[in-house]
Amino acid sequence: MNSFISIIHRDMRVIINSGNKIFMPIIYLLLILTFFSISLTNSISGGYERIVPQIIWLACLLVSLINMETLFKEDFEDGTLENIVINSDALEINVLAKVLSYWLFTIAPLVIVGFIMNYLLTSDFNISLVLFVSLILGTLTISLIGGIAASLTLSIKGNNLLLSTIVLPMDVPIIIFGTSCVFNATSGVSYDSEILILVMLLLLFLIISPFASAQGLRNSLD
Amino acid sequence: MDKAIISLENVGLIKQDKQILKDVSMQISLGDKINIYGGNGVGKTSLLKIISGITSQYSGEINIVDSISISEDLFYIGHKYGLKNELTVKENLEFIVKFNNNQNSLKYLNDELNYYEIHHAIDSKVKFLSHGQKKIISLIQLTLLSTKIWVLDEPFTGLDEKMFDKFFKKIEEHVSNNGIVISTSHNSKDNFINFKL
Repeated sequence: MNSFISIIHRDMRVIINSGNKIFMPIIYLLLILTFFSISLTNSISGGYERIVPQIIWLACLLVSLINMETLFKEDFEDGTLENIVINSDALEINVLAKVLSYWLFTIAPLVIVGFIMNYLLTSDFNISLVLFVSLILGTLTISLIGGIAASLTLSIKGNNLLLSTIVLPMDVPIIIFGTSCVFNATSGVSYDSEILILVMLLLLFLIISPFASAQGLRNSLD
Repeated sequence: MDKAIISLENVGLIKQDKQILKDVSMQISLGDKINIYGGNGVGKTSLLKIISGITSQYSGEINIVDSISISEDLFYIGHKYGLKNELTVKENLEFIVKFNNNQNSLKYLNDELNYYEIHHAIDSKVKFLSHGQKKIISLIQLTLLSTKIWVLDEPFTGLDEKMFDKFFKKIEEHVSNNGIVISTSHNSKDNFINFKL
């Protein structure tokens, strides 16, 4: 457990010491939202605010995809990954720590900003709350899937295209249930089943991802 | 000869259809200082990675006695320093000690930094250090962790004469306490068990 906590603590120090790193994904998110607002405000019948939660969902997915290759990349390049692989009693647990710290310091700020932006644009706290919960569940699963893809493509130069190709098909169910969850909430229909499916997908990848990612890392370092 | 802790029998490695290592056999016992030497591309780093368990796609056999656990008793320093550029020297060393569940050794941190005369850099970010200084910090990890087996890829490269002597003393101290040092270089070295690839 010490190694798990020390990895998260170290990654937090790296983010704090490197200054603006934490803000870049947020800036991307805000830019995507701005461009969608400019282009769609007058062209959506029934009001642009009805589709704001879905746009925020897609924007979070796109920004998380852009950053996914960084999950293990820096540790691989500076050699700390070799020590993590060699000196781990259970590499799967430490891989989970890496994915969790990626989510905490790259994706969680997006989820919070997404929640705030949705509330500002729609003035509906309940829908914003549904968006917030579905984003937490969905982006955690996307990060776990990203861990598998990032570990498999780690030693390949210019791996971002390959990584996106692996990740996107696996992300499709999460996008479908994530966006339909907020759509149902906007339409006043029950969204319980979508939330349940998102929880199930999260649990499924919580079991699969650490093992698959750990093996992917071993293969990449081999 | 003492009982072998690690023994390699006919270890071979093929990478991208190229034979990197062929029939490498070696016995490593407690207190050994091994210098694996040879020219560029003969497979020195590959052999270290096989011993460290990073590389698993090799032929032949490696036997390690049950009392040794690679994850707890071996520390590897490769060509990369294993340090985070955005963290300070202190933060980097604190991480490696905590990660390896060895917090007690943090009390020796100042002594080690003083020994290598680099204490002034304790709060400097690693990215601002020279290559030689980074090398020293990466070597300090060894003494802080006090693992039994040190696996070092060209550990003396980038060290000036003074630091070379200081680190060599640490190696002598380590093997006299029944530690094992497995290192690589381009030439044979006095006082080491030399193994040519």
